[in-house]
Amino acid sequence: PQYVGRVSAKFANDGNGVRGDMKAVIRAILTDTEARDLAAAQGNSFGKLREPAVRFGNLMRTFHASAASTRYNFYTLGDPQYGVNEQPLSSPTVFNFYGFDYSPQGVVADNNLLGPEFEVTTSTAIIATSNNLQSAVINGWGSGADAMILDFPSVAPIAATPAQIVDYLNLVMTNGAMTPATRSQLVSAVALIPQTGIKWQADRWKLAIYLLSNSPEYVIQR
Amino acid sequence: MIPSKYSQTRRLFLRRSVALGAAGMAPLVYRLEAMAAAGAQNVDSRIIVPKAGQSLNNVPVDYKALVCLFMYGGNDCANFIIPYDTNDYNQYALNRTNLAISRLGTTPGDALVNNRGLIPIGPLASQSGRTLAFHPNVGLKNVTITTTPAQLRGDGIPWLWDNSKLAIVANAGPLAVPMTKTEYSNKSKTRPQNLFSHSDQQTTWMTSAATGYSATGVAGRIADLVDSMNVPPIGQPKISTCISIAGVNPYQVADVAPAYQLNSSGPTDLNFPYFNYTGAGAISTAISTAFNEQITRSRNNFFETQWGGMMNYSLQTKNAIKAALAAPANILPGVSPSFGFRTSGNSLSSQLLMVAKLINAGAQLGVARQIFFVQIGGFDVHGTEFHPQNNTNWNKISEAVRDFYQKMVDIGADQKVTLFSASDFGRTLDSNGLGSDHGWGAHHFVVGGAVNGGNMYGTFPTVALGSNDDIGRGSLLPTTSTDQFHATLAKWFGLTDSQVLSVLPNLGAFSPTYLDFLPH
Repeated sequence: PQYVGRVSAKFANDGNGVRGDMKAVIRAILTDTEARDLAAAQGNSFGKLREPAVRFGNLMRTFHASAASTRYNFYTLGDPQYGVNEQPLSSPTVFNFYGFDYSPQGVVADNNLLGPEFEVTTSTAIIATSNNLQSAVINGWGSGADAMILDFPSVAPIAATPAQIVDYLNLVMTNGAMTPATRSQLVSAVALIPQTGIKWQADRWKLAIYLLSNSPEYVIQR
Repeated sequence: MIPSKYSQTRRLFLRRSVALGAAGMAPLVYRLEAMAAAGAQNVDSRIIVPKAGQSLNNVPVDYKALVCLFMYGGNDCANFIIPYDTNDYNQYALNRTNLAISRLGTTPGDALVNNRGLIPIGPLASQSGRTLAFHPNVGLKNVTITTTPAQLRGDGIPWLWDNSKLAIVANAGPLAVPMTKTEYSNKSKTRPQNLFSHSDQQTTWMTSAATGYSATGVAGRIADLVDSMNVPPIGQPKISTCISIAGVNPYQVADVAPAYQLNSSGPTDLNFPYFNYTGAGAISTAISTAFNEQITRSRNNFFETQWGGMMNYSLQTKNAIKAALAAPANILPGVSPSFGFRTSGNSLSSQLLMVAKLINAGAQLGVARQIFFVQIGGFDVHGTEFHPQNNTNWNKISEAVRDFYQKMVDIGADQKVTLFSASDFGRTLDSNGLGSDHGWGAHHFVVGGAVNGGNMYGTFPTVALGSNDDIGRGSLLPTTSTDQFHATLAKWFGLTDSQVLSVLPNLGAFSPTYLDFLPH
């Protein structure tokens, strides 16, 4: 809330007595200490849960998913068992998918923090979402001509070196926040896939993405 | 599956203050005890530990469960329960034209269901001595030419009626206030909103909010009051009051108490990917090890801890339920895999089988009060599917509830479990030429050992176009409200009168508060 306050103060007065200077506002958003300070990002109450539809989009876009039909058909995303419990543009009520002030029971509520996105993370959807994102990564999303397949061939050359896969994922999935422990865990796991057959490159990518996508380091955006 | 229209739990700051009258119903403070007792940072706070002085084996002996059987589409009650007295029957047949069922039929063993003859019930003292009847297809299914009337009614819903385990609630539906036909027509009293709309009336039956908007369902509101009675053994996760075998539904949405869904084959399992290479076993081990390490690792960030904890809790719940279902002591009596349920081609039966399994595992799961939800669809019979689909569906319901009741008897839970039906609405008396259309008031049934069965409650309507009960094409103006219906179930379930009022705030508009199909 202090971050929002500082930005809105800039809107009110950009420092030269001008109100509504959008350049100043944008600069304030991008250069605020909370947006830049790595130490702040290490704080125990920093960050938020990436909502499941955004995680789906993130995975699809990062690996350039496409379908033979050229369509992007994900109308079942909202299903709590076969989707990710969140259908874009189709919130169940006018109050969006979750309340702005939702606080999940547990350490978040105990520390007086809000976690709106947790409201769509039910005990059943959390497992189903993991399963369905896994399926999307491994097999693509959808069927027939509409099946959205991730583009692994273009990143195949990196696959010979597990550490390069993991470092690339640290860049595009966890924004550099991957812990050393997780890094070595993923590198070891990926290395277990031998360089045999014709799918090993894609499989190494799939394994790494699967494990990281089920890590709090990815699910929580910092 | 009906997609979720509601989030699972409401915002905490709107949590209501609840009137806690009954002894033994403690407020929901397990979160703080759990954190203190557990000590560890990463134990999911919903894993409950008992308060000081509370014995782990002290799961309340008075287990109770409600089972909501929802018929999606609007059940054609006018053919489900039919007037049997000659004049009333003739009026029914005259008005229903091609939808009418033969009163006497040729023989009970007729190959054509609609020719087997009605299954009479009565004379009913509560209905001024009228005799009514069930549709033949709720009776015995596998008839032969020698089947007698006694045999026809020797199965399913008629058997439960004859043995006083099934009660009928006549002409129930959403009401804002009691109203007469005149008051309905001239709108001098408030009508329920969005009548005749599938989605709205499904929601209205589940929330009992005839007007306005309710974010919570009846079961959810009850769950918020009783959830703390479900105390799991140490180290096991807390199991929800509200469990659905048929997906997310508005009935079970609470302010706080989360509902849990599984399907008739069990909880959703976590799927690890498999990589087929030399050393595949080591790869799979690395995957599961890494997955579990990630969600149990001690972390500084509260959000990471929360999400990891929730995944961990969900997996533990799933595992606890799977283990409880598989434990030899909890296996149902009977022969696997159906244990006496006629599940072939009957999804409702499979769902009720899972409910029975969960009830039988209740001690291991540490539950005392539960509300289950099951469903069957295909009731919106506007067209030529009218007879065949109703015939099929009523047979499925009849066998499923008979088998479910029997299993409750087998495990000694028949006094503790009450099943009730609900639906969007009843349907028009007259025909659109092919089938019937959306109505309002409907007849429903309640089944269980505690039920005052073999009787009809409420007021069975005059089945005739133009009657005082007819607000258009034979759609019924209800004489019993959903509030009274739900209230009677909630009172039996163990709520106090003031708790029932908090669950059903509009109940005071109706009299009597409780119907007599269950003790109150």
